[in-house]
Amino acid sequence: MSKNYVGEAIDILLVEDNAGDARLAKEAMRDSKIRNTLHHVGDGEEAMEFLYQKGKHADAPRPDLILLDLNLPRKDGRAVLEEVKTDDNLKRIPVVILTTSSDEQDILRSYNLHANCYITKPIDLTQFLKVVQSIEDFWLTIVKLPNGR
Amino acid sequence: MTSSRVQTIPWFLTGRNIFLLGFLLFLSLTGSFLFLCYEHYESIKVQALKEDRASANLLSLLLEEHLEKVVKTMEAYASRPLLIQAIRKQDTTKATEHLAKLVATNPGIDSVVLTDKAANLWAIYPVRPEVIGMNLAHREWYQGVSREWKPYISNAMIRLVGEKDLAVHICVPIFDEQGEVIGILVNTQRTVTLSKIIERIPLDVGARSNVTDRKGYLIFSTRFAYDKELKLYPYYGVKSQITYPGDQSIPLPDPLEKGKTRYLSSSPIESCGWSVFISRDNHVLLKEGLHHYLQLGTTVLLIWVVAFGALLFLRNQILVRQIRERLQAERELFRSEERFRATFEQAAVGMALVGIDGRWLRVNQRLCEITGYPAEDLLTKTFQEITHPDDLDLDLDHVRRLLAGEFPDYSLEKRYLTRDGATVWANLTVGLVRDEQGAPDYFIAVIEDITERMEAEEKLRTLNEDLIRSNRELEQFAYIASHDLQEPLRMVSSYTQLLARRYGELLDQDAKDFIGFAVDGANRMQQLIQDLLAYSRITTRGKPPEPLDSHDALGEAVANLQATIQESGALVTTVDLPRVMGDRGQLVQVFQNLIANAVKFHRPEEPPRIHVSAERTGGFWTFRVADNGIGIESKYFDQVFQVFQRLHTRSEYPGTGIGLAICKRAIERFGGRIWVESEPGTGSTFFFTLPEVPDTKGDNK
Repeated sequence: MSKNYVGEAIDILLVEDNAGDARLAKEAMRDSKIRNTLHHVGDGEEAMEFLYQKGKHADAPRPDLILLDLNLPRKDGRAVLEEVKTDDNLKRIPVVILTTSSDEQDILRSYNLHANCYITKPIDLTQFLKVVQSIEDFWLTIVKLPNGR
Repeated sequence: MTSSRVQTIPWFLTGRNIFLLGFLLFLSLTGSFLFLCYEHYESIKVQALKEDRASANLLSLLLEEHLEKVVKTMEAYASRPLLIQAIRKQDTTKATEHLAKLVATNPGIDSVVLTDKAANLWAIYPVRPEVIGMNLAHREWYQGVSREWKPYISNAMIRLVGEKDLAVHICVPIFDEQGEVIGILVNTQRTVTLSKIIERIPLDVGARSNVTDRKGYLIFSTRFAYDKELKLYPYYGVKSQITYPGDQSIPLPDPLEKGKTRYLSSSPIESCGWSVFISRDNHVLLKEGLHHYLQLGTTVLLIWVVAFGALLFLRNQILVRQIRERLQAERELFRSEERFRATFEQAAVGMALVGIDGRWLRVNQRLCEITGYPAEDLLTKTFQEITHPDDLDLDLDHVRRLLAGEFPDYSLEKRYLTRDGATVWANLTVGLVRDEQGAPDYFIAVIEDITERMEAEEKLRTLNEDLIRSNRELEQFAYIASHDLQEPLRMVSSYTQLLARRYGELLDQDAKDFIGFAVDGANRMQQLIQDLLAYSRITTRGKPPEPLDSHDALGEAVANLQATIQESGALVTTVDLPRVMGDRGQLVQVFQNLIANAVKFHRPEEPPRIHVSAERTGGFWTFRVADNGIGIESKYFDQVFQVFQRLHTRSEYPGTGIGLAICKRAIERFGGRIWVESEPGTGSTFFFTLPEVPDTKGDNK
C-alpha cells in the first residue's frame, strides 16, 4: 500500500486531554499510509467548538474522523459522543472511542450511543501502532463503502 | 371475677314497695275479715231471728191453747145444771161453792165471779163480800161478752179487788135450758199464771218476750214492768209492718237504751187478738259472735304477720345473698386488683393506664425509670407532652384509628423525651379499654425501652452504610486504578519504546537492555493492576446465583484454554457434571484458572492429565480437579489461595499469583469452600463446593 492510495488528506479530530497520548497518536499518524491532518483539542467543550466551528475554531474543517477519548475534562467524552450522534450534521462523522480502560460499562454506553468503533489504548508501543493501523483499516472500510459499490 | 351475675330483688320487694305490699295485704285481709264477720253476724242474726219467730209462734200457740182450755173448762162449768139452778135461785152460797170447786180443780183459774145478765156481781170466789152487788157493766170485758154472748177474753186491766195487779178476764155467758142468758162467769186470770206458761219457752240471751192485748197494753214482758199498771208496748205501733206469716224481722231503735237497735219478731194470738212480740238486742248477737270475730281476727292478723314476715324474710335473704355476692365480688376484685398491682408494679417493662385525653392515669416504676420522671410528676403530664415531636403525629394517628375501632390495639416504635431532655426509643403497645356502654374508657400502654437495640441497630446501619460507601469507594478505586494508574505506565512504556524505535541505531546494547527492563516492568505493573481489578470484580461485577450446568462451564473453560492445552499436550477428562447454583462466568473462570494451573505446573517428564469430577455432599456438590503435576507442599495449602502469593519465581513459572485467590473469592461468594490436597511430585487435587439447585426448581440433574 502507498500513501497515494487515498488522494486527499483527511481531517482527523483527536479529542485527548493527555498530552503524552496525543503526541503518541500524532507520532503514529505521521507514519500513516493515509495522508491526514490531525487536529488536537484537549477537552469536550473545545471539541464541540471545533465541530460547530465556533470561536478560535471558526475556520476549522469538518473532520472526516473523530478519535475520542472518553475521560475528558469539562465535557465528558460520552457527552460529546451523544451530542455528535444526535446532531443531524455531525452524526455521519465516524467516531472511534479511545480509552484506557476496558471497562464494560464504558463499552456498553458507547455502543448505546452508536460509536462506530471502540479501541483500548494499549500500553505497548508496538500494539499502539497496530491500533493506528486498525484505524487506518477502519477508515479505509468506511471510505470504501460509498465508492466500492 | 366469679360472680358473673348478682341476684336482683323483685321490684315488689324493693324499698317502700314491700311495705305497700304489706299494707295492701293487710287491707285485703282486713276486708275479708270484715266480710266474714259481717257474713257471720248476718247468718247468726238470721238464725236468731228465725228462732225468735219460731219462739213467738210457739208462745202464741201455747197461750192460745191455755186460754182455750180455760174457756172450755169455764163453758163446761157454766152449763152445769146445778150451777144454773143455783143461779136461778140466786143462791149465793151454792154458787160460791161451785166457784170454789172450779178454782180448786183448775190451777189456771185464779178467781171467779158470777154476775147476772146486767153485770151485777152476786157471787165471788175467793169470797169478797164487799164487792157483792157491784155493777160491772162499764167494764170492757162485759161489752165484749155481751156483744154476741160468746166467750170473751178481755184486754189487760188492773184488778179492782184483792191485790191491785195486772190481770185479764175470761168471760163465758151462762145459758138456761131455753137458751136465755142468765148470767156471766168471769175468771180473773192473773198474768202470773200466764207468765208461768210463757217462761216455759227458753229464749236466747238478749231476746225478750212480750205479750200485748188488743190495744197494745202489755200482758206480759220480760223487759218492761207491766204488772202494777197498764203499760203500752212501745213497738205495738209497728205490728202492722210485720207481715204474717212472715219470715222477716224488722230493726227498730231501742226505746230504753239510746243508740241500740232491737230486732222485732211477732206472732198474733188469733182467738183473742193478742200479740206475742220477741225483741232481740243486736249487740248481744254481736257479743255472742265476738269471740268468734276475735278468733278470726287473730287468725287473719296471724296470717298477715306470717305472710308479711315471709316477704320480709325473703327480701332479707336476697339482700343477704346480694351483700354476700357483692362482698365476694369485692374480695375477688381486690385480689385481682392486688395481682394486677403487683404485676403492674413489678413489670420489667413500663406500663401505664392512659386517659383518653392522653393524661397518665397510672404509671409503674419502670416507666418512671425510662422517662426519668417521678411518678407524681408524670401523672400531671400527658403522653403527648413527653413524646418526641417527630413521632407525635404518627402516634396520634394510631390513637385516632384505635378509637375509631380500626384495630383492637397497636404497636409502634417511637421516641420519648426524658426529664433531662434525652431521647429514649421505646416499643409502645397500646390497647383500648371500653366501659360497659362500649365507650372508650382508657388506654393500657406497655412501653419497652429499646434504646440500646435502636442504638445497636443505628450503629449497624451506620456500619452498613460505611461498608456500602467503602465498597463504592473500592469500586471507584478500582476504576481509578484501571484508568489513571495505567496512563503513566503507558507513557513510560510507550515513550521508552518510541525512544528505542526512533533512536535504536544510536543506542548500545546496555541501553537496549535497560529499555527492555523498563518496558517489562511497566508491562508487569499493568498485569498486576489488571489482575487486581479482576479480583475485585469477582464481587463488584458478580451476578446473583442461578442454576447452571457445570458441565457446560467446564467445556467453555477448556475451549478458552484450547491453545495452551494443545501446546502442552494436556488431557482433560471428566464425567457428567451436575447442575449447581452459581455465576456461570465465574465458574468458567474457576475451572479455567484451575486447569491453567494444572497445565502450567506440570512435571516436565509427563504431559498433564487432569480429571474433573463431582459428588454430592449434603446440599452441596463437591468438585474435584485432580492433576498429575508437581504438587504442593502441605504447608503452602492455605498460602496458595492468597493474593499475589507465589511459590515459584517468575522465571520458573510466569504469573502474578492471583488465579487461586480469584477462585477462592468466587467460590466463597456462593457459600462454598475451596481447598487443596496434594503430594509433591505426584499431583494436586483442588476441591471446591457449590450449592445444589433447590428441588423446587425441579430441574436438578
